[in-house]
Amino acid sequence: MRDKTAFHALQLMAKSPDHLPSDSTTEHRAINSHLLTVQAAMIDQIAQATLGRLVLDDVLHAIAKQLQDTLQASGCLIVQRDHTSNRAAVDGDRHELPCSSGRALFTPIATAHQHSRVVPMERLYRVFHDIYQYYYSWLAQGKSVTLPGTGQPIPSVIWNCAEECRLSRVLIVPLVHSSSDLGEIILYQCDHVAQTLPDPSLTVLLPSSEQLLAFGCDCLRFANKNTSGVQDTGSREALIESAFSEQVGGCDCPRGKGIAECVHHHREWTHEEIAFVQSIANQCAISLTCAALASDWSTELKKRQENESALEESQKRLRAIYKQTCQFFGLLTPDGIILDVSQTALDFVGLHAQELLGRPLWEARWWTPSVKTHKQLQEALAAAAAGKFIRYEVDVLGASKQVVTLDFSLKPHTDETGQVVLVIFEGRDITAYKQAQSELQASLSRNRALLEAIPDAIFRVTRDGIYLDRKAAKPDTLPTQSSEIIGQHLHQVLPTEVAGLIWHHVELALESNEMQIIEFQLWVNGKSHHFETRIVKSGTDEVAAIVQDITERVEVRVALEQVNDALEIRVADRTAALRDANRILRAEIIDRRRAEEQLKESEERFRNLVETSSDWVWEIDENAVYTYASPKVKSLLGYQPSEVLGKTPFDLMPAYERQRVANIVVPLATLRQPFTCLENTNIHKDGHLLILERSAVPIFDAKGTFRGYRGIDRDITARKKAEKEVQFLHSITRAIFESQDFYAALGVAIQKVCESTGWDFGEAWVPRADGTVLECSPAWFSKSKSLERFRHASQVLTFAPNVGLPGRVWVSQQPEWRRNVSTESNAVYLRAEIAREVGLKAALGIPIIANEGVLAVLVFYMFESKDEDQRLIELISASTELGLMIQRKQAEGEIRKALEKEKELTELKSRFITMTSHEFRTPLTTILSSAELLENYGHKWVQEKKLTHLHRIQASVKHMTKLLNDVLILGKAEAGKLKLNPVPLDLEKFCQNLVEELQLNDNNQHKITLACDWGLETVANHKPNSQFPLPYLDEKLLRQILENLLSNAIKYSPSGSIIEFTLSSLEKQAVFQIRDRGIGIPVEDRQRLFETFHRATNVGTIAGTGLGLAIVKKCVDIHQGQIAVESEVGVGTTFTVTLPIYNLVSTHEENSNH
Amino acid sequence: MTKILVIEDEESVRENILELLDTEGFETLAAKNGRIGLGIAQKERPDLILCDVRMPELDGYGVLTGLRSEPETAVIPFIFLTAKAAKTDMSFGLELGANAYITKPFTLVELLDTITQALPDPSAPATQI
Repeated sequence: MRDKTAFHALQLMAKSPDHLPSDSTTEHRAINSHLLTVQAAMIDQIAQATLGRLVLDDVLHAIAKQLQDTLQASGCLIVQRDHTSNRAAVDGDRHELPCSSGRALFTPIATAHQHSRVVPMERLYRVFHDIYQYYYSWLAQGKSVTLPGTGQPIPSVIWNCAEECRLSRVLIVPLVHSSSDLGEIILYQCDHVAQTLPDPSLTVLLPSSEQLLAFGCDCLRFANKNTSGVQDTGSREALIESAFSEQVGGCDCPRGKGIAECVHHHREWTHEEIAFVQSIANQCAISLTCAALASDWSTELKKRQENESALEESQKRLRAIYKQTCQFFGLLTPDGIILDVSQTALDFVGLHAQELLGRPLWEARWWTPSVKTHKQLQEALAAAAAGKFIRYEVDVLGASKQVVTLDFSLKPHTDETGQVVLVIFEGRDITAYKQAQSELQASLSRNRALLEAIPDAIFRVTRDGIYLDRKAAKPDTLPTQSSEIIGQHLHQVLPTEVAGLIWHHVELALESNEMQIIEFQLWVNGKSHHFETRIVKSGTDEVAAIVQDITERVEVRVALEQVNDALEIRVADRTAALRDANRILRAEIIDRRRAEEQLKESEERFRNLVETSSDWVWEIDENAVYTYASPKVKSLLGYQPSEVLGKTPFDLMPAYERQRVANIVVPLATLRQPFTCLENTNIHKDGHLLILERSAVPIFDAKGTFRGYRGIDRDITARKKAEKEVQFLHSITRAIFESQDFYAALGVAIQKVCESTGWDFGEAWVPRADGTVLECSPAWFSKSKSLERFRHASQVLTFAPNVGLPGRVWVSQQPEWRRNVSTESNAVYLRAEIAREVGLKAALGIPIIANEGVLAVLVFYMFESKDEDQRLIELISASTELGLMIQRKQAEGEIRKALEKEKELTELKSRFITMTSHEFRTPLTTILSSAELLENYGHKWVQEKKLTHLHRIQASVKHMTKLLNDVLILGKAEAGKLKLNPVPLDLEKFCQNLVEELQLNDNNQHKITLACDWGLETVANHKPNSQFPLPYLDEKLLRQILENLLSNAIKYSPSGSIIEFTLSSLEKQAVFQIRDRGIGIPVEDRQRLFETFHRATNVGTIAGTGLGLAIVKKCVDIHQGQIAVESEVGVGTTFTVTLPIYNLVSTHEENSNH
Repeated sequence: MTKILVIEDEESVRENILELLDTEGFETLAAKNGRIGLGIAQKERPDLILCDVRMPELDGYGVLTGLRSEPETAVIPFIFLTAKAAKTDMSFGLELGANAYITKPFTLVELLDTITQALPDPSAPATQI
């Protein structure tokens, strides 16, 4: 509330025309500079509000006030537009005059008014409202409205209204920011004396300097003095006003003067004033926008925060519900394989989905607490798979190893055919519920115990034994009523002995500070009661006694005691009997113990045996799970016995082995059969493979039920390896045995070594017969064709002793390994360059030694460089053996050949001798007997008879000579002394002479025809016009052949028959054919025809040595010809001999022979 | 008169033996091989048989075996004439039931002695019935 006198004085001053300023321009300048100062201060204030350092509303109030003051207006309003309401009004009827109807277009947010008794504020507002509405769009464009002087026609209605309110002038400046109209600053002047003024529009009242000074001081005084407590914003206004004063005080103009000069009573607003208000309005607009934004933000933030917390809340709630309702769930196949599992379940167990999916549910870590839960689950799964809904409570293991009680259920899911296709498992953690339940139970029982412990009565007694207080739970606890006993002495209430007892213990409790417990008996209501009383010190000279009726307890105790007494008597009776029984038992026990010790001893012996045995002893149950493993398993498989328990033998095998072993063992196990020496591959704990030989017998319990197997395993890896090596050696040995000769054997050995031990090339060097150098043998082997070059180089090489790798091995008789020969110097390895070119690196020389001599040096090469190998030793031993075998083979072959030949010769000789002796004895018999007959009876005989015997002797001698000749020829032939000696031979002539000779001997009994195609053919084919060269044949051999055949023909054919002898040639061969018409040769004799001394069965008495055809055959063979026979018994025989003609075969031979 | 059968494939040997036996007063029968010899022996029941070992068609062992299988001829004294000198050959002949061996070449005295020893004692004819 403003000071009315000051106000009034001001009004009076404003209306006095006498106080007009003499020099208006000076005044104006002063005003301008003052306005700028005030403006700066105000802007600063608003800026502070914008920055949030001052409260905007307060600042706006201050601004309104300052504007009013600075511009000497009757009032100032800062209003905020109500956009929603006025837009409808304005849009609908733009220039229509506003009226009293409708809602307010704006809301004042800060006001400063001089109180006017004449015009009520409501009316003023109405006028502003109308003006506002009228100029709405004008203002919306950011333009100010000045009345008067807007330059727009003002409707008279509005003007009239303004007149009525005595509004002399109005300034409305919009608060525009970013082209949005936030509100307006409205300044107005109400003129009380407007009616007295002839022209309100021209009235300009200015107070005198003194007046203004006085007024300004008054104003300030008033402001400083009266603001506090007058209105709510008073203190803030004061604050702002003081800030404002400081700002103003900072400028050049003296305070009093500045204010005085600011006072103008123009009828129209000056430009400076309008600009001043507009600049303030701009700042206000910025501040308001900021405030609006800040408020929007904070609203939104709040909203968001609310949303967030609402979300969080709901999530919490949901999670809680979820956790409560469904701990975990998942899908299973009917046989219990996990198909899917919820995240909750995974969290619960602390596993990832991939660790569970595809595995049986019971293998999940939840189900490990006990075998029972395991079994229970499997049974439940089976039931669920059969279509049953299963639900039970079970303890399982959660992620942090704590046992959790689950309400677990399995729900089968069937397809349309009723088949169970899925099982849904669901588990709910009811641990907390369970705990709560058990806690509840515990607390119940605790309460019950408490209830039971609640005393029947409590009283307090002083040291002197006076009752202070008493509380009885039961009416019959004590013989007297509680009211009666307070203040009385124990002795007055209780029987003497009880009172004495209690009093005594009261004292004890007080002295010792410890609780005293006493028992006493009282008669209450005619019944004997036992009481237990606990006496506790409850003050310096008083105690609390807690009394409890223990009658029942005592009764029970008494009953028990009585029973005990009775028992004791009976026990005494029994004791005697027992003592006897004991004696007997003790004896038995001693026996048992002895037996037990024996058993233990034997068990220990067995155990020692098992545990010290190099074999691993084990037992498996009927599911093939190890139930016992001797410590030896550690050294065999690397596992501790405890690690093996629970596993099956198959767990320790590679996958491929499992199936193979199962195929063998399962049928045996089904039949409860033992098995022995089953070889199987196992994986050592460190990963390497080893082969075990397993033998086992089935175990049966006392009832004969199959309980598994007990068996032993032996490591046979080394044995198997040795077996493999033996196989390698064996294959070499066999190959060598089967090879035809020494070089073939070497070749096989080289090939086998290369193939089995990774060498790429191998060859053999053998000492030359004179022992001077090593020569390259024909035996070699190469895995690669590219090494043929290297081999060619070998073939032209020899190695002297100690020269090159083979030479050194030859002399040292020791194997030599070279890591990389291609880098060796010439002194070490001669062919380094070639080796480098073909890429050979590692080399190994191995001597093959037999009888301390080197038979050969095997040299192997490899494309890689390689360090000396342990395998080498095996190779050495193998190759030494090899050497022996090769040598034996070699020697064997020679010996066998010699032996065979010798045997053959011996046999031949013995047979020859037998035969010869026989053949010789017969003619000798004739000679001897004839000679003796002549001697003894010759004198009696006629000459003729004598001659017969003499001829007999002569014939026999002749036969013997022939025999001797034949034998000699044959002997020569057998001894290989009959050598082919071809000479030029006139065959035709030769044959003719032979035939003549034989015919003479035969006395021409047979006719021998000689047909000769020889000359014609030879002439025709070779040298038509000259004397052809004689064919080269061995004359002696030919004579033997033809003579024997022809004489046989004569001998075995009847007299007068014809013998055809044909000589022909066929492809550089001479063909001789002798055909007789004799007795023929039986088929059965033809096979043995050329055997010595064999004569056909049909020869009868025809003389013969049985050597002729044997000689023929020999001679044909030496001549490298062929002999063939055709014969029919009784028809005749044809022999055909084909002999090669030597000079026609080879001209070279012809020349050399010339 | 003692009848002797000579079985021998070598004509000159056979003729010389027959000549000697004729001269010494024996009745003689001759065969040029085992088959013929066996037939004559069974027919003529000679008192003694001289037989070669190695002969075509049926050898000396075959003749002996044939003779020993018939009761009528089983006891006829049988002498082998053999060119085989080995003792083993002789023992085989003796096992078969030959009475004696004469190895070729033999003297006439050897032959006559052997025949005389093989023939039953003429002074004790009572045993022979």
